[in-house]
Amino acid sequence: MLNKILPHKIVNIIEQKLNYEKLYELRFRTNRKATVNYDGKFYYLSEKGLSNSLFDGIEVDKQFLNDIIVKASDYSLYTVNRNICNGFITISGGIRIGIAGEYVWESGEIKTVKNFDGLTVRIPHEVKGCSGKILKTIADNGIHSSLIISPPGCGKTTMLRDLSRQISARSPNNNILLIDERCEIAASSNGIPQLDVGNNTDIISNCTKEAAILRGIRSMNPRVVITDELATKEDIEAVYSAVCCGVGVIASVHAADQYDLMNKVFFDHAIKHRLFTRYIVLSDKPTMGTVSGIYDENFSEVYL
Amino acid sequence: MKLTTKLLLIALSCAAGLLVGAFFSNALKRKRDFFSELLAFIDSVASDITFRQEGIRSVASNFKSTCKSKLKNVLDEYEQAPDSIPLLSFLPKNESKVVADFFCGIGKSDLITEKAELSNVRSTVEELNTKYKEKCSTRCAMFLKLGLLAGLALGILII
Repeated sequence: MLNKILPHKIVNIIEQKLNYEKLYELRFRTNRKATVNYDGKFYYLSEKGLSNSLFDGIEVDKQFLNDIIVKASDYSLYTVNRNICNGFITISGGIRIGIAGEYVWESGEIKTVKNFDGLTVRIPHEVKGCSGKILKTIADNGIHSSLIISPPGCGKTTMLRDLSRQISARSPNNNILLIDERCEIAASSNGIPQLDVGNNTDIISNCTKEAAILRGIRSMNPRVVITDELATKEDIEAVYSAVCCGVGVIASVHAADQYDLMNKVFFDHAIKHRLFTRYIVLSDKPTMGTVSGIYDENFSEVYL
Repeated sequence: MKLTTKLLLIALSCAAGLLVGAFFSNALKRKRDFFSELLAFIDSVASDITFRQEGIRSVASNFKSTCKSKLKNVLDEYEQAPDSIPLLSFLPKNESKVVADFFCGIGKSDLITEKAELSNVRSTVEELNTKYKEKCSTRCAMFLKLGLLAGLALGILII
């Protein structure tokens, strides 16, 4: 899919000099050198592949960024305007392009984004079996509502995808409702998931958690709800409503660790009322997706 | 020369004159139909921007099935390579450039700019459409008549 949005020159470097499986992120900034997250570390993207020297990096201009966005929108930028206003576009294969630029406001609303300054192209990878270590503690003896905690880029989405696949595979009773707000987990395209999220998983994409949980629980009768990146008060309230309906919720959140989570304003209430009974902390050390701790509702460590 | 041969010659030269007239008349009609359909296509894009938001390729693909003019070929080429629309030989250079610029620029701007650009190009295309409609109504019949008369005159000169 990258070859549909990136210039041939960059695609050739990726195909000939890099291993796609280790490519996690490409970053392009106007009139600056392109960088790449390769196997968890950042490098400059050079003609020879990877480089630690700024001097060797390939410089990209404004037109380069524009072309990527135009191609990502299939030459119809207006069709993705709503996503651009939210700061990202997701294209086929679950590739997410984060966008920085000049926001245009009108009557207190973001109308569009122009003069793109930076793009972050995130490439999803399926790591089947990566949730094996936490699956027991989450899904044995019923489903524990769980929160996966980590800073960005530590493998939360990959973990959620694998949990969905594995919980779904355990029993046909395990009907899962996957709320894929940014189309990253299942990477659905025209209603068909591009990544394996399990046989018994229903996917609601491009929808806020609040709206999806309200409708999904009523209409799809799930046993488990899986969703990513809880960030707002509304998100937490939506999870509350799901848990109160007797549905297990597995979600993720951006935080350094459990202590950082406790300092988050909206989570205070959720922690106090034991909304989640499992907290899983992920780290990128030594490698992405490393489980550095599993905790119960009282933040006591759960030993496997 | 026999009378029947003479009549046949006159009929043939009239037919040839008519064909020449029809050639010029059709050239005008082709341009008129092209701009008329282009205008309708622009309206479809505008409506897609406002309501459906399916994308220009989808609009082009749907519109193509109803196309009778050379716009069909342009839409075919656009679907293959949206970045490079060649100049159209049946149009004057400046008008062909308007069309090529429209297709090369469409869908590449943010929502606000796109609407403004579409409105600008629509008024240009509307002017061209009106121009060719007027030309057609005044000249198409004239070309046919002139062709017929020229053919008749040629026939008389020959016999």
